[in-house]
Amino acid sequence: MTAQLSRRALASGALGLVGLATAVRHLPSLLTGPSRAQRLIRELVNLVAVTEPIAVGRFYFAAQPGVKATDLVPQVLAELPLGGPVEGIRQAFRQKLVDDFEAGRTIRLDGWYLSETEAQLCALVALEVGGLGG
Amino acid sequence: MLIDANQLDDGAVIEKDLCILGAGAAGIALALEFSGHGFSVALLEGGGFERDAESQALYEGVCEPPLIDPYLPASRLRYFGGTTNHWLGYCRPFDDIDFEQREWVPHSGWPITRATLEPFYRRAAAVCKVAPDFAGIEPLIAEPANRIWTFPFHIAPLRFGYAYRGVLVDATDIEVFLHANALRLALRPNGDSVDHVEVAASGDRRFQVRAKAFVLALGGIENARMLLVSDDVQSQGVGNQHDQVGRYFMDHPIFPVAQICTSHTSGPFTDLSVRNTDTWARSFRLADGEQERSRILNGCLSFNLIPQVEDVRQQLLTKKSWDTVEAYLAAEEQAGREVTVIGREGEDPALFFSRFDVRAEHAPNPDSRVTLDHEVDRFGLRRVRLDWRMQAIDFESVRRAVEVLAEDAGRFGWGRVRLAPDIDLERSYSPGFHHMGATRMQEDPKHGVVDRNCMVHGVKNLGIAGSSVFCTSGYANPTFSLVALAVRLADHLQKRLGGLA
Ligand SMILES: Cc1cc2nc3c(=O)[nH]c(=O)nc-3n(C[C@H](O)[C@H](O)[C@H](O)COP(=O)(O)OP(=O)(O)OC[C@H]3O[C@@H](n4cnc5c(N)ncnc54)[C@H](O)[C@@H]3O)c2cc1C
Repeated sequence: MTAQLSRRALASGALGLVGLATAVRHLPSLLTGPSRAQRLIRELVNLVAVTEPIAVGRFYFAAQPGVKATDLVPQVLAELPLGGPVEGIRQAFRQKLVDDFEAGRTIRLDGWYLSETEAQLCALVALEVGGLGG
Repeated sequence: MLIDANQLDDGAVIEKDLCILGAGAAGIALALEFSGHGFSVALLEGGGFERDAESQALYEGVCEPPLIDPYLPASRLRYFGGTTNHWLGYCRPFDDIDFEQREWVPHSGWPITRATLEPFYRRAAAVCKVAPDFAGIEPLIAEPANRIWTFPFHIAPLRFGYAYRGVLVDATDIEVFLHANALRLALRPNGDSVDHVEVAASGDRRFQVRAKAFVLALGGIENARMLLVSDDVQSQGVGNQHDQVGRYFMDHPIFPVAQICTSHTSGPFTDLSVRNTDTWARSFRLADGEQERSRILNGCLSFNLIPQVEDVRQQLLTKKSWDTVEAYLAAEEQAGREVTVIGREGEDPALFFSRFDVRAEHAPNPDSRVTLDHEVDRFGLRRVRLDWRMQAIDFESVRRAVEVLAEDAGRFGWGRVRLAPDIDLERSYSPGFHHMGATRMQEDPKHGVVDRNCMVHGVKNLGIAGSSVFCTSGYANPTFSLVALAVRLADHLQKRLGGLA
């Protein structure tokens, strides 16, 4: 029950440069309301049934030190129908978690029995929100 | 009729058809069944109608390991109504599997089945004043791969002493003796039956009750003690020719070690658990097939999910940006894929959370036993020494039950489960205060103390009522089953006494 971080392609090489451009492009939405990334993450975190995702995410880093946000994002978002309505995204994410359990892609963090994908999402949250140096 | 034994003459001799020792759930149920059937009955109770320290002190003894201090006096009450004076009233029949011989559970298997007890469970419901419609066990969802089953407990903390005092005292064929402490069963010289029971009132006064039949209903531990202290005709104690009395002691260890969290209100756990009431509570257990596959014991998982106030989502909203996520989305767009995350307006769905207990079946173990200590009580009777032992299967069963629940919760999207990490299960349980097994039912006297009718092997007029006759412990609280067995024993004795007459 160990996270196989190499399981999905790490399509992250170009993300650093694109990130800068994106932040500038989405500046107006930051002033008007949550950005699409914020909305997306909120939707996904809502589907993860742990009370303290940040704490759980920290355990992920203890088990997988050195993992970066750019490693985690593609793994969490891969295969989600980002072009469709939000309900479709939710449904696909739920299915991704179920598929993880079916395939034995599970991990134990702080005692929680979790799907790898949700553990990676918790790790991302810990990194970005929980002040893990992100 | 009510008689205070303190008012009897020293050396008095009482003669009855039936003498019941102990007026707790078992003794009272048995006496009620005899009321109006034309037999004379003595119901002996060591305490009075209210709790008193002197009577309670007779329950002191030694318990290894010292699970909670003091386990022996705290887990029993020694006055009219017995331990039902503070029980919680959880009632549920045992499951079919509890009666079966399971090849992976050593010493499992009863000489009777659940079907044998079915009609008596219905009568027990009337005694315990719970609805007789015990719903069966059903899969949590209709899906072959599901391994979790669900079932309800009825909750009715009936105080037997208060509820039935009037009926019993008014019954013309029953004499209720208070402050009547049974000291010893006196066997006939050939040892094949009980001649009389020696009884002490609160002071020095002694008297005897002679009867055609006797029933021990002194509670799960004292039943064994009474057999062991009655050692003048048979030196190893009554019914103990094969050294079985006191062995196989079981309680229900409770492991408060796990937590569950569900992310939406529509999951079956949340749906079922929020419908719990003061008189009804739903629990969960592993399917029979999974117990067999995992080679583990039965056990019940109970939780009460409540909504959680979760603030991390607010933090997520107020976080200024998710650059890496934005960058990923932008890269997707650049690769020609559409990205339109239309945010849902409104409330975040509540999280539901609960800590939960596993109330485990305790595997039968001949080395887990009630014996006699060298210390004596104020009547000169040797006190109890209880050596409650657990085995590897007891702990492995709990770990596996939580694991299967966690796996199925994940596979079916019901929520997430946590077993506290690095938990030392061997140090993480507390007792359920259910005393079972120390005079177990087996057809072969080499392996048990009572036969299928709850009559002591080799002693033809002595029966036992109470959870000490259980062969296995299941997870269900014991009183409902012990009342059913007491009702069944009453039928058996009435036939025998009728025959004798
Ligand atoms: C805190 C707590 C909560 C519980 N909750 C539940 C529950 O929810 N559901 C459930 O099924 N069970 C529960 N139980 C267990 C339940 O109380 C017992 O299973 C039940 O009371 C046993 O009935 P009994 O008649 O065998 O023994 P008891 O009720 O203990 O009665 C034995 C009687 O014998 C008398 N006696 C003892 N020695 C002598 C003697 N030498 N001479 C004369 N009289 C004597 C005692 O005074 C007593 O009245 C609970 C127990 C505790 C401690």
